Amino acid sequence: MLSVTDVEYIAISDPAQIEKRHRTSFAAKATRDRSYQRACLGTGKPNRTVSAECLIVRELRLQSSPELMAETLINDAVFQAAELLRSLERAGAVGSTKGQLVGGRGRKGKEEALAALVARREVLNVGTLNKPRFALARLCDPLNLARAAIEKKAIPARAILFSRQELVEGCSPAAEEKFDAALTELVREGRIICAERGNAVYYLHTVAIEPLIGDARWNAATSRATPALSADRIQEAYREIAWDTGFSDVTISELQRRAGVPLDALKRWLLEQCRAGSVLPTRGDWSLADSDSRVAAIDIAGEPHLRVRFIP
Amino acid sequence: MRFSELPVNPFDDNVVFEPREAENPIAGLNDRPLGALLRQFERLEAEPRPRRRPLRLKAQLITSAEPGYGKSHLIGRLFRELDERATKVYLRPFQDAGSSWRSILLKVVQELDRPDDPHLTTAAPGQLTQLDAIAFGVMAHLLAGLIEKGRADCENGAERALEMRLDPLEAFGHGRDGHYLLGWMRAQFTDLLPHLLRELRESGVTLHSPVRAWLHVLYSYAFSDGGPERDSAMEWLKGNGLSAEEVMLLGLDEREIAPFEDSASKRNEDAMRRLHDLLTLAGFNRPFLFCFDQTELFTAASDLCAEFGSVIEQLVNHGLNHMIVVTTNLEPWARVIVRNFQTAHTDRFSAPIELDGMTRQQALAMARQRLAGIGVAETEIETFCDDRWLDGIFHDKKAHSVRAFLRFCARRCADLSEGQAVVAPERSVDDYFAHYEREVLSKPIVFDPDILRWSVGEEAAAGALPGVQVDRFRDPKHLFPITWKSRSRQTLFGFEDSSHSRRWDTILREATKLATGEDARRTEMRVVFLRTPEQQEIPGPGWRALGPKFEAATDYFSVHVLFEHDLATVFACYELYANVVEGNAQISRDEALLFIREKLRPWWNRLLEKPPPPADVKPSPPIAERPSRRLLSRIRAAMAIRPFLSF
Repeated sequence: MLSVTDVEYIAISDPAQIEKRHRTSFAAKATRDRSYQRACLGTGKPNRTVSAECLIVRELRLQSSPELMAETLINDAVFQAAELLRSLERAGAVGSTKGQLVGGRGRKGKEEALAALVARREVLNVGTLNKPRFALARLCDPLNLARAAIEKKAIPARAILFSRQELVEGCSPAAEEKFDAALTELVREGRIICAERGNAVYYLHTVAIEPLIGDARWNAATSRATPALSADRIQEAYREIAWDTGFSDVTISELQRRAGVPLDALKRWLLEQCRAGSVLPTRGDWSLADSDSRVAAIDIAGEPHLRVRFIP
Repeated sequence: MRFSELPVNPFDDNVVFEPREAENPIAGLNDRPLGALLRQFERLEAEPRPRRRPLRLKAQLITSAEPGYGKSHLIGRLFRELDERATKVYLRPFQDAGSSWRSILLKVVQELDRPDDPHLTTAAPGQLTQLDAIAFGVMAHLLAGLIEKGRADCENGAERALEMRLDPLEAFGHGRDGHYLLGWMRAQFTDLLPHLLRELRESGVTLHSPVRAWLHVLYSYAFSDGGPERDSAMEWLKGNGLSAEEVMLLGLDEREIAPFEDSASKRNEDAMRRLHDLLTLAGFNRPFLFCFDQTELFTAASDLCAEFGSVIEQLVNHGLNHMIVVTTNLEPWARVIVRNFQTAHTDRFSAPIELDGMTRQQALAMARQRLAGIGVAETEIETFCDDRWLDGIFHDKKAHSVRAFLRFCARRCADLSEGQAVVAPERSVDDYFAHYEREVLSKPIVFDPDILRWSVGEEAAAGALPGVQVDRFRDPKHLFPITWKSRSRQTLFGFEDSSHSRRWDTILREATKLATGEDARRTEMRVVFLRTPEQQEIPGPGWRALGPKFEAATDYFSVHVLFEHDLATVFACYELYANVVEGNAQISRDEALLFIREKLRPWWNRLLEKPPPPADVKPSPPIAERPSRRLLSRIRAAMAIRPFLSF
């Protein structure tokens, strides 16, 4: 009997050995399971399914006790997961509906396998909560999905202001995770304009106001290019965060979120304050920082700084 | 001296390896956090002795916005400032949540055996230890109580009693032979014991272990001539079992020592109780200061974080006479450690006390201090501390971490030294490893179950050996916490501080059960216990009944003692890992682990091999003639050599 350790070792050391070992050690199982037979023996050469399966076994090993390992290896969920991965591979970045994936015989096992793959983030929901659509994580970038969803929502036929919540509603669950980073990027790139009224922040796509700009271009020189940052508002946001967390060093991403100011402008303002000595930047820990924090980091002498401390 | 003549780069040393050896502080830098800690500590000293009132002082949380702000340096300053006002304990993270208290107690006892003088870092013959100070403190206060109540005659009684309370060490002549009160205690202890016991009970303190046992152990440690009594007292304090001779030596009863068959959880709980007893007794003398440093290492596993929260909660809620200082980098603390705490445990920490960055003026002072310290000429120092260079560093950032500034200095020093190789700053993982190896070898290495566990555990060894799966292992007594499993073989690892035959009898019995059990029919099972050279030999030379059992079990059981090269490599690898995780070295965790695995692989492979059959060993000298471990360690310290010689 091939052990889990062997499978893992084969998978990571010598892919050419996979198929050979599977032929000899899993022959009995393969004859019982037609789909598995197809996957392992059909082509006569190591295929993606076998590799994927070995990787799954390796993942499951991490979640299993030593006693359960042998059982895990021959667990049907592994084979179901291998089948699903193959289907999703064929579907590409567009993905497949749940019905397409888990229909037919063995629905329950397939559903379990799909849930496990989603939990392990190998498969993402690129549809909506009510109408899910699944795609392989490696084939779709959540950040790009989020950018596409925001732009799709924010470019109607006429100029309309959107709140953050309204833009979020246009995103799939996978895209929603990267919503803030995507929105920040779009604002930084100037594709979306961030506008304030009182405490509310609204977003407007530049494409939506393109036709209006021609008329208004004559007075552009006399108007302010970007709205001035409210230092009071940033200070207030800083005090709030420092009070909530108990730490004087706050992440720039959180400061930007609370203050509701454009990130680029905030970074410029912070750099000015750093030079003046009223703000002290600190590096934090890049390895532990999330993507939002990394995007918001300011660069000082070639080193990213994730946090700032306001000097009283 | 000119830069071109420098023997080393004076700025390469940018990590405080041993807080007691931290360099002189720069005026004004981190004075505010230090002041806050000292004010909190003063609260512990307000009550007259014996202090029995639970103060429930929250753990003082020292945070650093980025690595290198001087957390360990602050601990060193606190140690120095408190001087003899505190019993100082420096703790690094435990690596096994199931034996957290045993690990802490072991390190506390090792720290108590360090010199009481805060300026000394290694023990030397005749020097008083922190445990001596506790023992003298307890005895002096009990004696003073007897005198004040008229139960002991003494000329100028009230005055003498007061002197004893104010300076217990002086009262016993700092433990020097020939002092009259020391001699009197030695002569009268048996007669005095009932009175001391009565006084201790009347003082209102309650202990988990019998008070009689505590007095015997403290007396044996501080008032004996040294040697076996002190060793045995240390073993009792660690919660290890004692032989019949050791029990007699300490004047204890069989019921007053730890049983050998207890479960892991019971042993862990007993260790916690023993620590609480020590804290209670500290009410007679001076409070404890516990400093938990390098807490970033808890981020390796969520259960370690949770257990750390639980340990702090237990100490804050139930421990008397102590202050805890926890140092941490902000990011790991906020993003990982706290998130694994129970909500109630987070309340046991103070509001963060934040460390300050180094200003231009302080940086200038530090550069001058380092350069002057190594003998660089004043004109060279002026060149080094050029205004334009400093302006460049502080242009966009008005305060830097100490380490960041020292790195700027190291680079400048290399630039000014005209290409001398010896002053090139540390850059590669090899440089860092060599640095930590030097540090490790500069002082005696003692048994540390957490480091040994890490060296064969999941973080270091997982995926490093082909076909070997590294995992945690659960046996009923928690004797073998790590397993290496391959297709045909399973190797279990254990880490045991005790050197007692009955404890090892239990271990061997459990190992035999596993090696001959149902699972062993499918897989070859082996058990390896890791030990360090300063520990007693296993099996001991006098183990007549047990020795043959060990010989019979050589197929599946071995005790692996790490000697000079392996020991230094393992401990240096751990230092490298700990410093990388803490952010002290400019290399990534993955890069460090890759390096560590290469370094440890030869040793790991040897662990997997079956040990050679024991050769004909020449008989050891009789036990009575063998020098004690304490004596050996003192001789080694006195000779300033590493503890690898075999006596």
